[in-house]
Amino acid sequence: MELNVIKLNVVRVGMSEMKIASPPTILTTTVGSCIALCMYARRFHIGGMAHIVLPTNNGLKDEDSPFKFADTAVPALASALMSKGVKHCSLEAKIAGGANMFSMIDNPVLNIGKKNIVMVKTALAREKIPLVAEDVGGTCGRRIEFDVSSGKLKITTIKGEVKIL
Amino acid sequence: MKKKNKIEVQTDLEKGIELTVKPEFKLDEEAMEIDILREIGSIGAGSATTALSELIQQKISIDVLDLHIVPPIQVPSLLGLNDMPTTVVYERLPGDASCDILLVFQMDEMKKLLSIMMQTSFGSVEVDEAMETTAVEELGNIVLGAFLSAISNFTGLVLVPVPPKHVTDMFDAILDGFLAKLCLQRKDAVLFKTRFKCGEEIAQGMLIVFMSEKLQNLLVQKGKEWMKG
Repeated sequence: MELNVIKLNVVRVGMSEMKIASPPTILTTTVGSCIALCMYARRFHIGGMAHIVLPTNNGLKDEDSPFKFADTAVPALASALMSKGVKHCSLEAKIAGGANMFSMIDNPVLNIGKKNIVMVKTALAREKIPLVAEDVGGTCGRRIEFDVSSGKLKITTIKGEVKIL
Repeated sequence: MKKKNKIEVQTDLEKGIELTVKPEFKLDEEAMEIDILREIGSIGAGSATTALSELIQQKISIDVLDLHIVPPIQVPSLLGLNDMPTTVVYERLPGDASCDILLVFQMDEMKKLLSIMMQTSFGSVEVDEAMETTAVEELGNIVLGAFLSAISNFTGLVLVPVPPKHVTDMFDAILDGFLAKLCLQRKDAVLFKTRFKCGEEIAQGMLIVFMSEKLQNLLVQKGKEWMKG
């Protein structure tokens, strides 16, 4: 797996993608049922974001990106950061997303957001990475801007609500 | 031209690797299937835009009509709407031969369309929140219903969707649930996309169809039968 440290100011993270960056960089993405997993090490001035689509890779092809699935994205993002010299004990995580965009529709498959939340939290606990902040669930999409210099997340919804985590 | 039915193996001497060349008939077959799907989609799109045109009493022109076969995760960058505030009316064909159909308008443009629709139907341009829900879903029902009816008439397949629902949010946030579901079902998304313009710069809409493998195969089979006469 090839990992590049990005020097651009604003970098969009697409579905199943992961980006690592050092300041001054904002990692950004938009999620509905997907989860933006943001991990950083304040002391090392480096952070990464993974755009998780599904809870697990059960039964799916090996060629899929590990960042597509909650259970594999958490250890993969931690490893990617540690390969840049970050110590595991200094890692912290923040998550956002996991909405149920079509709450009126009685279709459990579409409520994949809830399963994503549960699996990300389980994987973080298993990897012993503290989850220091979260903005998850609900029925609204979220635009996320992750400032790797401060570790802060700015979350905006279509209603104009802004949260800083 | 005579068809080649054998798999040929060529050697790239510089790289020292073997390149497998697919049999020509296979490529022709794939191209034909894509053409059939595009044709069936365009029949549906023509009917859908006619229905919308009658509804708002405005001329509608089809701007873009594409068929893409790409991994689901590449769809957002292909459509490129990102954080655009968007209203999506959604219908689903249930069962094995399932399909998700999305009628997409920018949020403000949908409001303009609704005003025109209300004026045309009831002589009023005022649309409150409760009316908006009903009107958006009725608009979706008429347009998406026309799309499915045309395909149903052409192929002889019975296509009965669940009632439409709608959501207004950032486009990529709406899309990701559909794409996650698609990732569980198949490797590639068959994305049929039609973009159309309503009236004089009133609105640009998009009709997107994500179909299951079974529905895709059924449509291709029916298309081939139609071609044979």
